[in-house]
Amino acid sequence: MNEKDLFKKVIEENLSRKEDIRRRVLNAVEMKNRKGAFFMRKRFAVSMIAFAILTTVSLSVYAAVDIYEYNQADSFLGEIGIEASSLSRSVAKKVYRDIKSDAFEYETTTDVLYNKANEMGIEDIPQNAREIYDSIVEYNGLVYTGKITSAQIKAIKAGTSFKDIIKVLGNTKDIGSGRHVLQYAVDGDKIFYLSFGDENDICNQSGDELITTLVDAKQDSKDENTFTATLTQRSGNSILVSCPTFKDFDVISLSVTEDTEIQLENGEKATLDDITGSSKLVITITGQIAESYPPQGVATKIIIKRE
Amino acid sequence: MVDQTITTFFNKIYDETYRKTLLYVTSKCGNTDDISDIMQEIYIEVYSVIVKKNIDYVKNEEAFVMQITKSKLYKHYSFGQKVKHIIPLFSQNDKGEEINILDFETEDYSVENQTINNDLSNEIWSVVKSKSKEVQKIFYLFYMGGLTIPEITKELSCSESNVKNKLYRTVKEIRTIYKKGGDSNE
Repeated sequence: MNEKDLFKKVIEENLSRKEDIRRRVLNAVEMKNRKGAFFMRKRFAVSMIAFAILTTVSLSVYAAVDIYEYNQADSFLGEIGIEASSLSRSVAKKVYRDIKSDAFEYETTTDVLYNKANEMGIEDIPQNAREIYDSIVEYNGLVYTGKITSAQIKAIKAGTSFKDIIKVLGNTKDIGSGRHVLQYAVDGDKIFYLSFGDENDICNQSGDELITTLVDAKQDSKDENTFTATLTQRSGNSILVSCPTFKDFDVISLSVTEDTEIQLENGEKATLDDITGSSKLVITITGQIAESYPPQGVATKIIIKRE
Repeated sequence: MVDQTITTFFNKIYDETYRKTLLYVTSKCGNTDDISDIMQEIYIEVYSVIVKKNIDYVKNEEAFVMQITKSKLYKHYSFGQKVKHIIPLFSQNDKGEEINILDFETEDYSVENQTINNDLSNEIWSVVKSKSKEVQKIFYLFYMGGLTIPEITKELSCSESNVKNKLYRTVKEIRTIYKKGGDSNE
């Protein structure tokens, strides 16, 4: 071997190592490619996890929205005496949306309202869903007594239209006849009567002035079946009483039987005839209430308090 | 798994361009110790690009590899390193001794009678590695690359006498190893 070849051999052995470099390159790219495949799998796995999380979140949001909307439906339908639980969850929401949006396009709405009107004993039930709903609302002043706070009343400014006041305080039972008399339960123990001829009329009283008109209606019930009420209507041995601040209902039709104990505040025995419109009554019922509107029950004891 | 066609194509490019690339890297590198790493980086990039963009992407194999080579060299040395290494390869303090190029370019200094074993190879390599980077470059380009003195002169932008001096002194030193080895064998 000549010198030149020897030097070349030495250099190639120690420096260039062509085949070593080739092998390392091939291995490196192969590994990189595998890693790439691994990263693709990893990326896919991450995507799947992200998708799962997104789906879970979406379902959670959907569930939350569903619960919220169903509760709204339950509350709304409850106000017209329809139990949402008597309908399927989706139907309850559809009926609620149909009525609330004033569309009345959902066929089941008509059926549900018709059945309710029939159950309430409304005569000449209209065929149109919207009209049936109006009839139900109007029937016996079906709207429940709205519950508000004294702060809401105080916030009313003199010169506000009654329409705007109602917007602020919310819908409530109109117990007026010929003239609107809206009834609100205030702070759970007082009643506020807002009287006006037309919604567009202007209320000249300020909130501070209106607050002085509140009527005391504190419920000092000894038990959950006893409440304070006033007589609204008497029909034979049945009385319709109003109790806006009671937690379970704001009006109830009560049967007075031979077993019903009626007495004056001083303990003297009394009769149904002793009850007048201005009487404040402390009534105890059996506890069993018919789920109708107004609710119906049986009185076991009536204490008449003279005002 | 890389397609076998691509691997075959890469091997073809590797074989065809390796020498030229090695010479280019050798002449341009800042440190001869980096040559092996840079070569590996270059061909990993070459192979990766082919894998990623397929064979059709390479229109001119030599140009393709050279473009990557230049890019890798540029990236391999930071600006600071470049400044550090871009110094004149040859200082002007050489004696300018007249070296007969035939002394080492054409002389058939046979070592066939010597034992070409790992020890000899390691000793030669030790002498080469003990030299400056500039001398190593000249040595590699001359013996490994097969470049002539004028070609090395042009490649490294230095004078022929400098190249000759560096080569002569290195070869002379290595030859003492043969002598020593030869003596011991005798």
